[in-house]
Amino acid sequence: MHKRISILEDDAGIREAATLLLESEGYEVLTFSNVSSFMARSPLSEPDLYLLDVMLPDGNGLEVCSLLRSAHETAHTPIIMMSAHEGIEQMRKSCWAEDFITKPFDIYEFLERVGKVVADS
Amino acid sequence: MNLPDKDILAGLIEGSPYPIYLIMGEELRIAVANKATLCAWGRDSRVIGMRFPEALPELGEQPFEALLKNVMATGEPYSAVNDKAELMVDGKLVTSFYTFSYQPVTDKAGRTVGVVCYATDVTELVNAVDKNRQLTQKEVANNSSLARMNEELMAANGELASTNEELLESYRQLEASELRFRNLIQQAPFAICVIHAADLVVSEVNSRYLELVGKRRAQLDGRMIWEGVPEAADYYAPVMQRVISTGVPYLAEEAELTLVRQGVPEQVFVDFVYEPVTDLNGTVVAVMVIGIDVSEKVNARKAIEEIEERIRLAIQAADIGIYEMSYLTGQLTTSERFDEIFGVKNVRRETLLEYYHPEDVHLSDNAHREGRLTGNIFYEARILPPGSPMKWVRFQARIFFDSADIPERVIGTAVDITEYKTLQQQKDDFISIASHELKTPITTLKASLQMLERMKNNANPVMFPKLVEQSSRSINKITDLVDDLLNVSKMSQGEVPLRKEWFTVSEMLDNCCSHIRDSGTHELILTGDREIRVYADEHRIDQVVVNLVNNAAKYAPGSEKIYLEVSRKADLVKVSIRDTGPGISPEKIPFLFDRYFRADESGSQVSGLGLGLYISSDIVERHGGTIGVDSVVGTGSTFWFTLPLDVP
Repeated sequence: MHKRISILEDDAGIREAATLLLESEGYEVLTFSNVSSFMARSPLSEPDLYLLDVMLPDGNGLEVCSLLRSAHETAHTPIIMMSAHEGIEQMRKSCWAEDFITKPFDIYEFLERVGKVVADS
Repeated sequence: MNLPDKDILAGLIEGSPYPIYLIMGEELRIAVANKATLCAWGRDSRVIGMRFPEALPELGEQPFEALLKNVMATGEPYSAVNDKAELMVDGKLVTSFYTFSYQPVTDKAGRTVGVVCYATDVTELVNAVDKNRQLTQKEVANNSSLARMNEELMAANGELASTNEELLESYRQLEASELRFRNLIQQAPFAICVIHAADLVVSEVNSRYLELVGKRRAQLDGRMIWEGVPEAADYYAPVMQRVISTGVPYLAEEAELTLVRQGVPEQVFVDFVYEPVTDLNGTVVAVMVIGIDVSEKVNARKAIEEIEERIRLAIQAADIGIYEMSYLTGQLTTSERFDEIFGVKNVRRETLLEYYHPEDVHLSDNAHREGRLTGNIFYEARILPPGSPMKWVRFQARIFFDSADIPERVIGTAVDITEYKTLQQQKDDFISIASHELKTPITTLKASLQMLERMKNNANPVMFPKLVEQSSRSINKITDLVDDLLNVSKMSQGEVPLRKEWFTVSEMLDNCCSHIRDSGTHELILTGDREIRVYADEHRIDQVVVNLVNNAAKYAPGSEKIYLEVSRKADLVKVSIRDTGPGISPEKIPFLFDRYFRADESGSQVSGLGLGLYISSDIVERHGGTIGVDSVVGTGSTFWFTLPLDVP
């Protein structure tokens, strides 16, 4: 069975590149371009990993992270935060996520981190 | 026989027609002075008890005090016959003659404790004798005069001859004396010119004077003064005339004169005096002009005054606050601007520190401590002036030490750098935004390229074109961002040239913003005058329209229609871009066209560098037009710009 990954990322280019990369590795990918569409996602499609961008047009990925942690259904779903802006230390302080990735990333490292978090869960 | 009692004795002394007085002690205090004495002195009884020299100050130059002292010191009596004394009687100095004696008065041990004086006024006697002698002399003279006349006549001849010689000698002496006088004038370290009162002819002039007034000797010597220096005549001829008629010297300090030196008018400052020279009858026969050129002194002082004034103005213009503090007394002196920055005045350092931001208050002490070693103070601190928002202030000061190397006082400046700090913060924010904006397409580009590389030997026919397209899109985004950045830096250096040509505004609008039209999110509706042509840089104006339409699409995502309108206003064409979005709050409007300003501060992100409106306003303004916005919250915004029609 394919592992499922939900991506919340406002930039279409990054969304597409990440999708292509993860799909080529056999993951099933769901994408959202803003917080409101993410919050409206179907509860049936609960993924094995959330990949969240920080700066979003209608909200902040770190808040989304905290929200997921506090909700019963998603409290234990692994989360990886992605940002081009904040340093990892800054992100670590703001939310409890399994891992952090800074943009721009190396695809091999990206896949390794994603694979490790998904396998651990 | 019984001795008469004291009162009788005192009465005897008091009543004596001869002056009797007693001086006691080293101090020469007047103990007794009878009526005759007081009368001779022209004083009353108040002198009794006073010191002799104080009671009779006019005797200071005369020998009496010394004589009394001598009697006191030696115990030897002194007497004089027909001696002259000058005393102040009824406010007039009266000359009298006395025969008197100073007798020492001793105590029981034989020590001299005082001097008693017995005197007789012999003035009349002396005068009579004198007159008698004169008369006698006259008679003797008459007798001998006949004989002498004869002799004299004989002598006269001889005398005439010698007089002639004497005259010659006097003349030679006079000549020598005049020569000395001339030399004196010539060698004097200041300018001297002697002018005859009667005809104002210069009789004597030294080279310093000639130098001062910039003339040659021939122009002045032996000529009427105002012919020599006509440029000074208007003002100074009447002044000199007054000195001649009144005999009162005229003094001038730092008189400003325009003198023609070697044919060139020059401003000089001179200290000078017109000193009247009188003959034996007191008539002014000449005026001696003595002068010193103080131009250098005056100019140096004026230069310093000017520099001070300039510094003052510079300080004022630079908005620099000044302060001085004594380490010994803690006294703090501050300028008006300094007080303005802190919002308080006449306080001590301790009070000022209370207005520092709590996190910055230690900076002052640190700086002073370090300043003891380096002599300099430099720090920037936040202050919270009463009743105004936080300020950033830069302090720069110099510490002055005494000879023992102990800090004595500190003099420094305080500058409000709040605006600079705000700008710096905006710039930091901008760099952070710019780097984020660049990292986004770079992330896509890097991922796409790595994926392409990974499949280089076994290309996936579906993914390959997608990745190539993704890469080139990312590169375009990066190029656009870099262009924006370059444009801004070129703009600040004024380097973007305009390439103007004639074009029709509506055609330009029809063709622009294909990316918005293609995306299908917004509909662009063009209205207004389709015929208007302008002379402008079409590419730049297109850029402005794209920026404004992009903003409308970005900030008014719910506004499906964006209206473009072209209209003519007098000699201007106005292009408006209207949306029906949320509008802009009025407090943001004044800053919209500033560099680095971004409308959203909510933390949510809108892509772009926030430079669009800044670049647009620069383009419009360089065309001689204006840019602006009318916005109502809840109704929508209309961004517009105008371009002049009457060019070229």
